[in-house]
Amino acid sequence: MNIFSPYEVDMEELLANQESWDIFATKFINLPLNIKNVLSPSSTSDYLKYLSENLNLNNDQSAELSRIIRDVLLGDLFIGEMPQNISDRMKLPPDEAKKVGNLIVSELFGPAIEDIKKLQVEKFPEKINKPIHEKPDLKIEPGINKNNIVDLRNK
Amino acid sequence: MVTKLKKQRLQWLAILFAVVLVLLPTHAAKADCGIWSTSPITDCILEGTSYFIFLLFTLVGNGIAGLVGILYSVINIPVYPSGGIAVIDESWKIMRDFANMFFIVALIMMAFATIFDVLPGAAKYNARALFGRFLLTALLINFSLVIGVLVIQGTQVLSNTFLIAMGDISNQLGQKLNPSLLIPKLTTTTGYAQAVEQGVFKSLISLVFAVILGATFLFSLLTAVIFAFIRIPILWALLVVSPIAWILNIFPSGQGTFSKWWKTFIGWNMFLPIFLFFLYFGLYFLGQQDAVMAAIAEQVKNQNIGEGVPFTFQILFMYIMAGIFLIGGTMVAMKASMFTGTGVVGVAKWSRGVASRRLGLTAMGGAATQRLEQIKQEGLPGGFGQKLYGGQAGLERQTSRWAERFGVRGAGDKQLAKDISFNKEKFKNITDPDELKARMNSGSKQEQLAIREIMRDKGLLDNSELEETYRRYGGNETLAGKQFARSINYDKLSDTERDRWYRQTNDIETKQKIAGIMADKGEFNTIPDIQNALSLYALPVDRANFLKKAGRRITDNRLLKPLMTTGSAQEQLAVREILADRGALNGAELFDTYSLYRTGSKEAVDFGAKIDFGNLSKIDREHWYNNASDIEVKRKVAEVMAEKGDSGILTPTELATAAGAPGSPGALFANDAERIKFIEKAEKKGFMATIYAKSALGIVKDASGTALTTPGAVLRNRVKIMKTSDLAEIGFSGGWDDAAFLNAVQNKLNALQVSQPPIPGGPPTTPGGPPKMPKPGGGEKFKTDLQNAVTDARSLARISALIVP
Repeated sequence: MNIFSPYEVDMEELLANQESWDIFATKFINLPLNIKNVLSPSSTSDYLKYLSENLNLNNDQSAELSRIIRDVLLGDLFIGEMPQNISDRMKLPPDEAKKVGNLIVSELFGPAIEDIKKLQVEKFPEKINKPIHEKPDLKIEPGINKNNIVDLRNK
Repeated sequence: MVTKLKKQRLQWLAILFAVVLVLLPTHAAKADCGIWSTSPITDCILEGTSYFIFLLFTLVGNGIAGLVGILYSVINIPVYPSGGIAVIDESWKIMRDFANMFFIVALIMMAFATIFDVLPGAAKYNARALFGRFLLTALLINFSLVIGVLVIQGTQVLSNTFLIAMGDISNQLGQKLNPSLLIPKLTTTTGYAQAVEQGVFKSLISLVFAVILGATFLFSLLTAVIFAFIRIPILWALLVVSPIAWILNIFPSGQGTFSKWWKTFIGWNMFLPIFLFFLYFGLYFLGQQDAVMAAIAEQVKNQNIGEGVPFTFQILFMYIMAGIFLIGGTMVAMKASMFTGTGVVGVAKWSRGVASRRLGLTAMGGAATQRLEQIKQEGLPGGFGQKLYGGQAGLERQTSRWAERFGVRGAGDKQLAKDISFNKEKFKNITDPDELKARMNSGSKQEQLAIREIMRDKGLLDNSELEETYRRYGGNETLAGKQFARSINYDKLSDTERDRWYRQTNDIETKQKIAGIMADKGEFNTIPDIQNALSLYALPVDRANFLKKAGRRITDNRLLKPLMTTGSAQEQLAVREILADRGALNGAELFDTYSLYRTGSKEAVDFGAKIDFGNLSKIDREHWYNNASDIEVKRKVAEVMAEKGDSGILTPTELATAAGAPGSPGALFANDAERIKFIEKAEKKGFMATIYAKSALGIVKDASGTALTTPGAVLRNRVKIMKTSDLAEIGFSGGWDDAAFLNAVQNKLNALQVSQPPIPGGPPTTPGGPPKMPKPGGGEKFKTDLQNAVTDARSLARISALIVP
């Protein structure tokens, strides 16, 4: 098992369970090539190894980081919740978790960011499309005819 | 314009009339021709005739006298008097100064020609060739006027010799050149009348000759006067331009002009002396007429009537001789003085041409000839004219009418066609639609039909006019009517008009033409209509062609389907092809259609080649594979079956059989390369089967050309050369689930990892910078690419299990 590779981190377990493998394999096969090129190559595991060393992560934390990245790339985890997951699952302070999340998005996801966005929109439409802010009430002085006012702010 | 011309002619006539009035003689009235005369009619005829002759002689005589006076004055005009002519002298100076400028040009030209002597054609312009002439011209150009005047004076000396010898030529000619001597010396018209009555002139011919001779003298003198006069301004002009002629002498290309100038100049100078010589000779001859007269009188005085040559005829002969000297003298003077091709003769010819054209004689002559030819061909114009003389066309029409009466079928139609063709040629230049429209209902029947045909050709007839023309031709009853109907462009008519024509004509050819267009345009909406139109055609090929067109417009395949089993094979095929193109035939119907074509024919192969066997069912494909008679079609089916993994071509044995052993009879593939290509089409569905089939056939060779006969060797060879994407596409069954195949892929991965080893990472190259990242080896990259390309989850599991060393 290569704990630094998002593709191989749970490979033995997946291959041992036909159902789990089929789910994972189907998701992987249907990914855009750009995302596959972030998820599976050795350059990703090399980067995560370097990152883990820099952040002084232990093996469990490193493996968990690989799993979080795999889940985001497969569309199983909302990218906006990545810092929270890093913090929770890797037991890191929120600030550091946010910093790790930013590093991964900017340095690892860069070449596939558009495809990742599309995938995330597809998988988590309710989380991406935030509710529209309510229009502020127009304060109208008493005695003024409403028909004579053009509300440019809420136009 | 016409009015202006008429006015000009009237003016000329008025002038001519005035001249004639001046020249007319005065005539005293006599009472002999009157009611008191014993024979008044005879007297009046005699009086009238004598007056006419008297009138003619007087006119000619006065004319000659006048012209002689003018000639005498003109030939005595000095061309260049001793004091010179100011306008000539000054004009010549301007020309000389202008010509002098060209010496600079000549010098530059000589310089360049001498420098570039090697250029072709430059040699004749160099200094060696031109300089001598250049110097001579530079000198003589200043004396060009003097030289010209010397020539003029030289010829004037010659002219003076004759002028002095002749003396007063007007007196001599006036007295001696008198054709009236041919008539008795009577001074009144009554005398002439008496002479006529008394039969002094037994022959009318003598009178006519006398008149002609007088007129000849007159015109001879007129020519001489004109040319003697015009030579003066011409010589002046030649003198003025003489410096230019001289300067042109320097240049090789201008020497021709220089010699032409001299020829013209000498020619115009020599005209007068030569003419005067002949005039002198003529006068000399006339001067001796008394002696000749006396000799003639001596001879005829004792002669009885009817004996020897008559006196009158001898005098007449003498005058003819004198006339020849005078007229011939003018002509010889023109030719001998080198006027031929230089001016005078040309001027004479030109003036004659201009006069003829001016009077419209040339055009009139041409037009008259054309009109005569037209009348010969067409006869006289108008109905009455045609009855009088119908020309060649009339004769032919009459012949055809008689031929009809005698029962010659189509003779009338043939003649009508000929007449119309002739009239079309006649009217072909009429292009104005309004004029054509105006003419289409006027004139003879042939003319109207010709105009209508022209309009039809130009697309100017609407449908009602076309129908009217058709009726005038006789409609269905005549060949001409049928031919007209055939010639209509039905494509331009509306669908209802076309339908009308289709129903009203009974000419099969026309009906077929209209049906063809209607079929093209989809105007046969129902199967009964199509079948009805189909009956117009007898030949299967024509029926099939019609069906091809008409059937395409029937969009409901259910309506068409019944037609694919009726009629000849060609007709069925026509319909079946339409349905096949629309994908409306199932496998069995497609095979039936294919079977209708002649076995092995190009049509059969083309049809088979068009079929998309991938869309047919496995059963239909197998049916085609087992029953198609053409190798091309069978091969195409086999390839599709291999790609699809059809049961008939799936196992190693089936694949090897379909590919055919090298040299086996009826093999679908010509060589091993084609066989390998065919077998590899089955790789996605049964990779290992293709390996066994290829090894069984022994058709794969390694890079050194050695045949690979074991499945293991063939497998390794194939996996080694296959692209990653092709390997990823190989199916799980008979591919990724096969241990031997997986082993071969693992071996390839190992080999790549060895041949392209990974590059390890390292510390940052700059303090605080990013570390040097490691690079994967060839095998690792191969595995990643396989993972990314594969589309089957089970295959992905096998690939993921591959070990990177």
